[in-house]
Parts: sequence; C-alpha cells; structure tokens
Amino acid sequence: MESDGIIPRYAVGGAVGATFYLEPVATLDVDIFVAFRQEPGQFLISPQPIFDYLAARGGVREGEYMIVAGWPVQFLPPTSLLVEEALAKAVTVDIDGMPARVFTAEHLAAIALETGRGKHKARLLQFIETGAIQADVFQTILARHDLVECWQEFERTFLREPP
Amino acid sequence: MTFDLRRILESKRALRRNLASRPVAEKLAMLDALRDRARDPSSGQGEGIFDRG
Repeated sequence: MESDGIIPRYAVGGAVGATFYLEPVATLDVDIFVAFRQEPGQFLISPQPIFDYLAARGGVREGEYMIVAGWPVQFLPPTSLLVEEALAKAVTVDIDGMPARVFTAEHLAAIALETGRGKHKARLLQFIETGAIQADVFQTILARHDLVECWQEFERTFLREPP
Repeated sequence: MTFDLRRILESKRALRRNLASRPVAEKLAMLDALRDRARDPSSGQGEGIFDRG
C-alpha cells in the first residue's frame, strides 16, 4: 500500500509488533499504525482508501477491521506524539524475504507505559525482563514525552524487590 | 514434596527468553496457532507449538 501510494507510511504496533522482540502472546487482531493522508478540504481522516485497496485484493471488511489472511487488521492513526514518533522511527524487519515495518522495541515499551492498561503493563515487564530494550534509548524517549514520573511509579510498583 | 519457587520462576524466564529469540516468521506462526486456540479452545489447534527447537 505504501509503494502504491495509498498511505504515506505504516508500521506494525500492538501485541503483534511486540512479538518481533518478545515471546508470542495470544492476540485476536493486528494493529497497524498509519500516517493517514489528509485530503484537501477534509478535516476528518478516513481509512476508506485502505479498505478499497485491500477489498480489491481479496480483503473483507468487518466493521472497523479488514480481514487479511484470516486476521482482523485495524488501521489506526497515531494517537499521541509518542506514537507519531514511533511511526517515524519504525524499523524494517525481514520476514522470510518479505520486508515489514515495525515499531522499535523502545517505542513499543514506552507506548505500553503511556497506555497503561493491565496487559500493557505486563508487556512492559516482558520487555524489561527479556532485556529487549536499550535502557538509555528508552529513558530518552520517556524524557522526551513527559513519561518519567509515570515510569518512576511503574518502577516503584513492579520493579522493587519486596522488603 | 516441596517446590523451589526460585527455580520454577527461572525456568519460566528461560522458556520465555528461548521463545523470544526464535525467528520472527516462526513466532508469527505461533501467533496464528495461539489465535486459533483462543478462538476455539476445544479445537486442539496450536497444541505442541512450544515443542519445537
């Protein structure tokens, strides 16, 4: 879609993105973050060009999802400056000869911290326990996006050895 | 019978590290199997996905 000009840039995030760095964890859908192209005169961005493109190639729309290769895929706009940065700095990974762009481990971990739901906290712990993130890169991202206090709270809650 | 919780947790971490280090294509295939199993636990699909390697 990117090379055909449908979207300016994409990257895989969420649980499937995390699987590039961590052990696989069951998930029911695929989150693909997209830098949507805003059409002149339109204030709302629309995934319709993506849906049309994929439908012409066998994809089936189900509500907000497109079913691609049996997987419900959701195309999401960046929901914060952090996600925007993650999309801009995403890396290309080779999967058996096929390139795919995915958020960096440090951005996925920072997004998990920012999102802050239970499963995201568990994912952040996985990143830390498996040593999948570079601490200095992670800390720089946290500082840039005003997440240092949030991280300190997370550390106090989950990473301190009990007395 | 006693359980050595420290060893149990360490073995779990070792399993997770081992899974995390598998090739991406293999891990994505595991996601397929996990998703099938989550959608239909009675199907038995996905059994044995951790047995390889």
